[in-house]
Amino acid sequence: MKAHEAAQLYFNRAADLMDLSDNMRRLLSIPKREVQVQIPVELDNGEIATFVGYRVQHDDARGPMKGGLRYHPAVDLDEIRALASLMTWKTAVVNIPYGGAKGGIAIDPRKHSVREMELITRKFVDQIHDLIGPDTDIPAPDMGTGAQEMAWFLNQYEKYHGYSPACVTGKPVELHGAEGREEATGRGVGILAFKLMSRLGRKPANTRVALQGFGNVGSYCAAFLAEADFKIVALSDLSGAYFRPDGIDVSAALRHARHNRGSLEGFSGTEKLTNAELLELDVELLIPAALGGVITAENAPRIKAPIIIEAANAPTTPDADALLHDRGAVILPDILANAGGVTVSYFEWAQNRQHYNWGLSRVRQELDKALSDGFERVWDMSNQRKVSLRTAAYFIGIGRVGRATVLGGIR
Amino acid sequence: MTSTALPRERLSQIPLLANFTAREAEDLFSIAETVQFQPGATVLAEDEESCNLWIVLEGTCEIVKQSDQTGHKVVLAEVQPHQHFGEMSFFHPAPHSASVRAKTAVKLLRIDREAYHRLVDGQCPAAYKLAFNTIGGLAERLRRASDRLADLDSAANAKPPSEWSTFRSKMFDAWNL
Repeated sequence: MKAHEAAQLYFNRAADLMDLSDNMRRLLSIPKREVQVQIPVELDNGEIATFVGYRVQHDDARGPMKGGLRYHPAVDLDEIRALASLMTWKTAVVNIPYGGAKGGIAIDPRKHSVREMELITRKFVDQIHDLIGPDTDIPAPDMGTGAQEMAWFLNQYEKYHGYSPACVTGKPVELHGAEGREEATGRGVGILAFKLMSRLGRKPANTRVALQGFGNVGSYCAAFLAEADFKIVALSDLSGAYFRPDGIDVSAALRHARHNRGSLEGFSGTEKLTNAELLELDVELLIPAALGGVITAENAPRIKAPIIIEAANAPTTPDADALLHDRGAVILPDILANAGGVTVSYFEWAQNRQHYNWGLSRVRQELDKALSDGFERVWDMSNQRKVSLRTAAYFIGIGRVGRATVLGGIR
Repeated sequence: MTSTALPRERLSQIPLLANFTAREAEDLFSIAETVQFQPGATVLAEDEESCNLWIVLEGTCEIVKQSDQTGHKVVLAEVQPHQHFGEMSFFHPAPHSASVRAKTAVKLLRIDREAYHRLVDGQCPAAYKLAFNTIGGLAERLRRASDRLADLDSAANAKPPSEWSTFRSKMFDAWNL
């Protein structure tokens, strides 16, 4: 099952329980606007390459649309559309005044020079600049993009529209970016892990954690959890998984990766496993923070962790979700678990618009509050309606978007 | 079908005849006869014409109608002792809209339309009282039918809540926690 099918299925599962009519489901799920653009560039070797870029603006009932830009060879319209709708529910669950959007280019950034990536990013802005903007649709980093791409994006956008730092978030701190934005998603996962564990009556020190992925999300999440006294027994990245039953020295792992171009390859003092084996470890908390679709109906029966936090987008297929739910596993869903990133993007946008720098401690404090409020609402809804945390999160997201849609009207 | 003597002592229990004087009852009985049927026998048949007013003296009759769709016979109502039937054809001859058959062994009082007209021509009060009493029941049925029609009409014209307002109440009431 593809990501977009899963997203629609989770939406429909909640809509069924809410008894929404087919027509209202169409109104809530069909994107407001979908754009596909051609990006022709002359590569360093003189070849002409033509890439395809997308921007799907899903819903703007609650505010300007917000969502990342993904550079990945598997990007297509279906995937971007699904991710755009996830952003609509995600911004609603954490109650920030945004709608949902997503964009991307079907490209493998590792196969291109920095000059080529800059050109491609600027050409993409040329194609979509009149459809986005600080009050309309605000892109952000996603898979394959980061602060540098956002800086190019901003620079190119400002050529058309003048000074507009709020047209994109996830910018470098040196260029209107917010302190705390880079760590935000990983830190948010950590904050929510802490909340969830205390609700479930578990102490961090007695909680063994397996964390898949050591990129932007995984590394900051590991650092936060280690500081909060969780016992991280397994980490992983593309090079494989690293397991130490007594607990991994996370700061040593972070140092190792920093001096090894971000990779954990060769990290010593641990047993080497595969990424698939990491998922099946005997731990209390499993955090998939890398790819989507890693927990499937095939491996779900072997997954031992009673608690799963979806730091990645859509790591659990709906089949696996049902199996794990029936078994009593608690799954904190992606639309809440990784909402820290978009939340601090909102803080960055707000700072840009008020021309005032909040500083790191205020950003962290407000992030903690936004995620805690979101978590408590989802937790209460889940208990009140006797549904999974995922369905509860969709109830809240759909409810907020639905109310804004009703109040705004469609005439 | 057999004719027997009139059971005068029971006539005061019959609503249709309740306000008759002894003289008026006598006049009516002079044109009426009692008839008996075995269980299951047809008293009058759907789509056929006859112009009698029937009053049940003993036993129970069933009003039966053949369904257009399935051809099955459906019992619409039962007529208990002292109730009457056939009054529509009696005053306005037309094919019977349903059959009446004996559910049990029954004894009925039959009043023939032609004979009744002779009472009318003779300006006999029994004729007018019978007409007046029968019309009361007909009027009551007409009123009930009118009310039902009005109900059906308002049900057919009532607008269901719009999809938008249904959604609004879901979002603001049921799912606003």
